[in-house]
Amino acid sequence: MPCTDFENLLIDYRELAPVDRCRADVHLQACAECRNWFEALAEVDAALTARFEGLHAPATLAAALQRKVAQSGPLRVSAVPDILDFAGGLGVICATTVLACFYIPSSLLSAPILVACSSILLAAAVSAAAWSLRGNEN
Amino acid sequence: MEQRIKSCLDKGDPRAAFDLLVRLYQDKVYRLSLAILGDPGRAEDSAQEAFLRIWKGLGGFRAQSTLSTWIYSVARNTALTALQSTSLHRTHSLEEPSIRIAAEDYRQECAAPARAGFDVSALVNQLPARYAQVIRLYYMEERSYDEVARLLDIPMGTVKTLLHRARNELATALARSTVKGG
Ligand SMILES: [Zn+2]
Repeated sequence: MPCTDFENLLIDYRELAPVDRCRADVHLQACAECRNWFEALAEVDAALTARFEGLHAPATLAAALQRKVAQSGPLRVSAVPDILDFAGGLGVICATTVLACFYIPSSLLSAPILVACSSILLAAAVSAAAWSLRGNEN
Repeated sequence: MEQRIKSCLDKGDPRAAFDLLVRLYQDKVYRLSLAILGDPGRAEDSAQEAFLRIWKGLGGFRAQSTLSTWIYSVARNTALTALQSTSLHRTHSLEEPSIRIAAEDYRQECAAPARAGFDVSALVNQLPARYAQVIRLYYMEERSYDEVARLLDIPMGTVKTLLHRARNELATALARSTVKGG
């Protein structure tokens, strides 16, 4: 383990200002423990660069995708923006409510029926909103 | 390129849009999957799964977010789900064979280990998942904190902290093994 006071300096060695780099160099010359750790850090950096830098996707990925997409058939493209889906859904619900008010005899419009009808309409509105605002989650 | 993809979508040609999109994002999506999963074979499967989800969602894609943000979030979620299923599976396994197999895969692929017997990927695989993900991606993305933060959707400060600790742990592990090995 490096000396506590120098650990951060040594980890950020590449990005150090000249003054701090000078401090780190002086300490490295005097402290074998830090020198050993700093050499290990340099080896880790070199090995990680060799292993991961400039990595590309394997060619098999694009080929497999071409095949699977061709098998999956044509994609449905929705021409209606989500907000219109939402507005349309609300429109249908409002129209149904207005028509219901006209056609249901007033004698039947007792409080329990009104409560039941408004609950159903509310549930329908919430589901319509959730459905149309589901966005692009998949 | 992103504009061309969007114009293909506007013209009602999702297949052309998808082909362009794969060409543009396959490296990023694969790297992100590999950073999260740590195993090349599983990363390829996860990247493929992510692109298929993107294909299915492409018809409904609206410019609520940029295309790249959406693509990275699908890729990230797909890989994290795959990782989660491994973790659940692992609780039943005392031997943890997946780590050893992954390390074996890496050993075969590793271009030039810095010293004999030193397998950096196996060391990285032993780190906590968050450290391992950040450190793999940092080196894959040419040491850009910004890009790592964007791909993993975490603050840049967190990237720096995780990376700092990960490099510290790896150097300490290697330094100890050197002392032990003589
Ligand atoms: Zn020291």
